[in-house]
Amino acid sequence: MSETFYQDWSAALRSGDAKRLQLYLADDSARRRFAVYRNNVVSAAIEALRAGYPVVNQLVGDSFFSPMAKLYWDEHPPQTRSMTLYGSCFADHIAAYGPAAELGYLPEIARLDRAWLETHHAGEAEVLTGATVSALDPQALPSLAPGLHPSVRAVTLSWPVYDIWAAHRAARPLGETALEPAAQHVLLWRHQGQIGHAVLSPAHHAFLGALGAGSSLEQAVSAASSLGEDDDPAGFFGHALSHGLLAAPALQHT
Amino acid sequence: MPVPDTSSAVPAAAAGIGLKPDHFRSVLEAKTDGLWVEVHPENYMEEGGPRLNWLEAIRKDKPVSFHGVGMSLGGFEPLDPDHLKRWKALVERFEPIRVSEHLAWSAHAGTYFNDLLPTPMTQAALDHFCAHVDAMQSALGRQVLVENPSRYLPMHDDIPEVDFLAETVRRTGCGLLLDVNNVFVSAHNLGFDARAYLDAVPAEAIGEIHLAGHEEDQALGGELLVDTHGAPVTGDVWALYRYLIERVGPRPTLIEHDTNLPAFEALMAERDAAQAILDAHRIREGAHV
Repeated sequence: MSETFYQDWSAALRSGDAKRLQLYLADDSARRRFAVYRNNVVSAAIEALRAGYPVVNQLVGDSFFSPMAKLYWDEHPPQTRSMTLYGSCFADHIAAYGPAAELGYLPEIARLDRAWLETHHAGEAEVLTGATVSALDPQALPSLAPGLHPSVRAVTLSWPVYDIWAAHRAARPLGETALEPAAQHVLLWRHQGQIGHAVLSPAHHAFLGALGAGSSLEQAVSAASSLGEDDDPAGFFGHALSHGLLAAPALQHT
Repeated sequence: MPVPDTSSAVPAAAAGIGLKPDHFRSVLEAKTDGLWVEVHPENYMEEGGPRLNWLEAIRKDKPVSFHGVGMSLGGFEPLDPDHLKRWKALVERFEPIRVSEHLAWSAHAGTYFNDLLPTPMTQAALDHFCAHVDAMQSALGRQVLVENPSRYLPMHDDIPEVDFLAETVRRTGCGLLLDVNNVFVSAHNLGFDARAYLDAVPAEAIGEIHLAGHEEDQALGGELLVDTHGAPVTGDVWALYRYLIERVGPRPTLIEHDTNLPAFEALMAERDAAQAILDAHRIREGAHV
């Protein structure tokens, strides 16, 4: 069987130009009808992005979102057979998208939408619990290196958009907000089927970042303290345990 | 490679619905006798999370069927090994009552188009298609049902579609998933007789039937019907379905709805209408004995 058929169709679906398909089509009606396939392909990609980036879509509206998503599909067509996680570079695409240039905070909203999607579909892992930790030899605790649960995403934003994003996500009314560029750390995680999110202090962000990189609790506390803030890492460790942020490590220390 | 037919082991033909996340809880709590559900495995190819947990809970008391859209059986390239691996892992985990795919292609040269694109109806394409159906059946160790596509464009066909499918059944031992709405839509768009198509389908190969809604194309109007899965099943398609059941007997039947998702109750009302047709046939046939 000739591969040319599939090459010609692929090119036509990507460009929308059906001229090269003439060879395969039985009559003139076929060329005009080809638009059905092209529209299906393009709109499937746009709708997958709309579903994955709901707050971006709410903020800019369908008519702004669709051409932005269409251009993303032009540059990054799907490569895997599941559309669930399509659109991994959409935030950077928005940042480079001319018509969104005035909306400097919009890529940051997209980063939170993306983190939510990844958290939602991330793998399962045994969670490190307070009970497990209590049963450990206290001497061994500092050298314990619990990784993060696979659903944990710690996102550093260049605009502090968390409140806006969370209000839209929950369909909650939001008062007037003024935004200026500034760093903000946001944590997303999944625990017992529910997705949680919260702003993280720089020290707690450093603490989780260290654990995520494989550091021990002792090293993570020191990374957090080096930021010179008194943020009670021990108390935060307790929160991390109760919210299921930490994965049970291979307990070589027990 | 012929694969033993497992679909005929299903006792009485029941009607099911396509399962969508909006209806997870309703389906889980539904008490309807015989209700089964179908999912696109592509929507469950994730590492973890609530969707997989819902499906796990639902399959405990309702049969689940897998209906793939991304295998590209009608494509040029060998099947994607990564996709096959994910499929197999899901089949092992959820043990679906039936598995099906399409006479269509959806990917080429590393791009996934996420649409059911037309395979040329030629001898060479038939050989290729049969090899792909074989490969999928071997990889899963299961009989696969192959679905007839909705067709929009008149192309230079060497082999009528229904013969293409019948020959695939003969060579590979696959079954058929007969989508009655697709037959109606294709017959309208390409100008053939839908009942003649149904008459030519090898009846014993039909392991499942699909019913869905179609709509007129937004640009071309009534000239072109599009299989949108976004509307209720039309009267014409119900009539064709009755005609088919009359000829081949009851078969598991699915109501598909992918866009403009109706309320659960409305979807179940369509499902119950299909069940009534299946039951009526069974009672009538029983009365003959």
